[in-house]
Amino acid sequence: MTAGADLLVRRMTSGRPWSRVMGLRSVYAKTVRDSRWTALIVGLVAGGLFIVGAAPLAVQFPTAADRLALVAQAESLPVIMRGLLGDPIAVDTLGGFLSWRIGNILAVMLSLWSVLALSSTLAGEARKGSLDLLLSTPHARRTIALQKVGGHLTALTVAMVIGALLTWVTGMVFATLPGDNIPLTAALGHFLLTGLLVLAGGAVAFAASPFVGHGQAAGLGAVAAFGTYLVSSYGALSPALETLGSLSWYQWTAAHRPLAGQWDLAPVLGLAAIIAGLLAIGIWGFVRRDVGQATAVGWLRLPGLPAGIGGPFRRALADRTGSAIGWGLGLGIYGAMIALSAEAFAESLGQIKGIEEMIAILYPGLDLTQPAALLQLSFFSFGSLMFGLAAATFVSGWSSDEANRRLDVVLTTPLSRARWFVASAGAVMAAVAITSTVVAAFIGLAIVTQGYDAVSAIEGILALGLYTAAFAGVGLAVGGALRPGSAGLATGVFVIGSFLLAFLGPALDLPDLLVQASLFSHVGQPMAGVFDVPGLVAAAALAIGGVLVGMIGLQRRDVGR
Amino acid sequence: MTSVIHTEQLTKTYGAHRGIAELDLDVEQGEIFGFLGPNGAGKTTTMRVLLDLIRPTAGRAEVFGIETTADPVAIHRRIGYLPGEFDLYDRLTGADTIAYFANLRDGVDTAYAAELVERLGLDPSRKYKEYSKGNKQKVGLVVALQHRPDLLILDEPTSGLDPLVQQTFFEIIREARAEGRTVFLSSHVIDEVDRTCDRVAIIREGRLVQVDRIDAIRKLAFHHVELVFTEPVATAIFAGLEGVSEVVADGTILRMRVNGPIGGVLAAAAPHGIVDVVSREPNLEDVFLAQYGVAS
Repeated sequence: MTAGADLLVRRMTSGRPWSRVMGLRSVYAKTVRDSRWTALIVGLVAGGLFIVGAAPLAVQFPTAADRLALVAQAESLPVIMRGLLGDPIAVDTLGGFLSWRIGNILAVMLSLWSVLALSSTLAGEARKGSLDLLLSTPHARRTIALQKVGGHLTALTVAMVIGALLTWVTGMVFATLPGDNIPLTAALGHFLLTGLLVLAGGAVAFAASPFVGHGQAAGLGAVAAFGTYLVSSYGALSPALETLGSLSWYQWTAAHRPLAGQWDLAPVLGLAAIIAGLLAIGIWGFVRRDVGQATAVGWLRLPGLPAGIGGPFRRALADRTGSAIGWGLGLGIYGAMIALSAEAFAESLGQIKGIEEMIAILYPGLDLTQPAALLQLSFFSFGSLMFGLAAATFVSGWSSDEANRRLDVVLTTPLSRARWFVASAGAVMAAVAITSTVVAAFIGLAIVTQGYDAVSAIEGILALGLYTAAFAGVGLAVGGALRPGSAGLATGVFVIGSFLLAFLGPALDLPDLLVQASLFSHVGQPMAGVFDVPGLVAAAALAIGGVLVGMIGLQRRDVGR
Repeated sequence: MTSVIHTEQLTKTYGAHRGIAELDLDVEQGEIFGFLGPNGAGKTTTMRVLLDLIRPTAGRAEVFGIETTADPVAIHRRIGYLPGEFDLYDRLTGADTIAYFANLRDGVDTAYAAELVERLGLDPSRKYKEYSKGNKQKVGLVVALQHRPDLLILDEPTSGLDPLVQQTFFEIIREARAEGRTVFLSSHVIDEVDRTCDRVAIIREGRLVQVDRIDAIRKLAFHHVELVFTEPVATAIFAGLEGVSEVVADGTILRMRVNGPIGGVLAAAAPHGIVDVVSREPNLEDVFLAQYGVAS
């Protein structure tokens, strides 16, 4: 027997005890196996954030009086200022503080995992052809789909349990005042909700995937995950958003805060039932429909340029334009809705005693009668994160040329590597410009129709476009110089990491040097006309430098590795 | 004989696009059945319907007497399938991939799987993403063959394989036939199909245009006939004869295609001083090309 055949026999006969749960014994076990590192990382990140978040509370607010001051400060914030954090509940306790500062934002970030995993678990495999082989084994489609979903649920459960255990340990280590202890049941109750919030967007994607395919399903899932969070966070801004907010699972479950000692399980179970329903729809669709024959829904299809066969720039741009316009439409409509709420917002502020003085301290020079100021307060931070994630998708699409071996063919034409890189990277930057332009157009129109000056808001969006180009530049540098397959992921991690650093860093009392390392710490208030010039220069340098680094890197390494 | 595959008026459309139309097909147990047609003719669509990966728009298909949409799992238990295009799991090794699919079938004869690996010359220790196209195809072949299925459905199984491995592959499927198992395959290696298959079907634009034993197809098909005369002869003498086409003169030699008996041709040639007759039986490639209106 040859060494290869011997290896195969050993591989086929060596049954490890856990291989039925995590291994190659079944579709379920393989799904768990494929997700094991992600689950571990997600669990450690989730729990780690709670540990890091607990330390400053113990140090900065060591006495009961300090804690009461913290409560007063948190409760005095108007809804618009609380924004992404939600209502402060029992923030004078360690659990309540952590739940308020980290709970929501953590769930919405992690939901990307579920969206990507569940949109691709069947539809992605169908696209690459491996599902045909899998379905030719003696297992019913329903069984295979259930095992795939079950595998993801197991991985998610493991991640949430790790997070809960670390949170429980956090309570034991950092508790300084009565009420700071975090019972294990409370930690588990909190992460039950986090897990469901993470899963909800993925369930939407899974339900859609047999009908619209992997890409569009992921888009729908992401819109559901982030959209429900945003309308819940800013529902108080306008009647339109408030109506949408009632459809948000973040809003339904806002009262369930076990870490703050407040349980509200009924809506949580309701959310679980809805998720189960969505997953059932996905399985039903998968069982009923032809494999790999997703019908693109016409109104979901994003526009693109015609073929784009004039050269590498036009080709790459044609591939990116659809998603660039899609991101622009989504963010533009959201921004326009906020801009249209400006007058109502100004009125509501006038009714809150002392709030204008408080805002003047926090945001000097902000004219709250202008829609641009409202956009700076309520759109900019989350909008800038979304712009960054848009850059990650553009870079991911760009890198697929090499990852899918199209580049092998392209580079065998009389086209130099450098020229291809600059042209295709230019298309990524052009996609950023398209997104920025569409968002600026929507927001500008919303402001002008109310009779205000739209210039500063549009300038702010264009500045945001420059920061987005910087994130894309980082991804292009990674893709060009190191690994094309990791470029999109690297961009996403860089964006989310930078955002969390800038957003949570000060609250977590991280060293200033570290917080200042985030690009998001240098964005200024551009929608209100306050620009951070060093930040803009750094963004331009990252954008241009990223392209140069990537171009040089591609010339020095093997293609398609 | 028992039909392992049976279709009646099997039709599949993709919206406005044709897939296959009114396909009536029977594949008998223990035969190697070749399914020929150019790209886009409907071969893969037919195979995917048989596996219930896609559902018929009209008509029906049975495998092992079971309607494909009724109990696909019972069918899958007894089949091995190799898709025409596939991409498996980049991070698994060849051995992992083969073991995974063996596990999904509740285990296989490991000695046979190892023998296949040996015979096909596959190094199973490498990661799937590191394999060449031919080696990826070998992994797919082992996955399809390792459980000794009663029916092998193989879509372009020799794609990417070198000639030596192609030869090994055809040996393996001849062995499967000798064990009474059935093989339904599509291929563009027509001379191997010619030598290996018992019967073939030719599909064109979604419709079956010919199904028969290979020797019968050859008999039914035209012969290439070459007549050598003592001096040049007018082509018109033969062009009007029944079954004769493409008559070409080359000095004292006349070449033509003849469908059916060549007695009429010989009778017409006799008065003109014929000195030699060469008649070549068509091969499958000639038949295939003729069905598509392309002269070989």
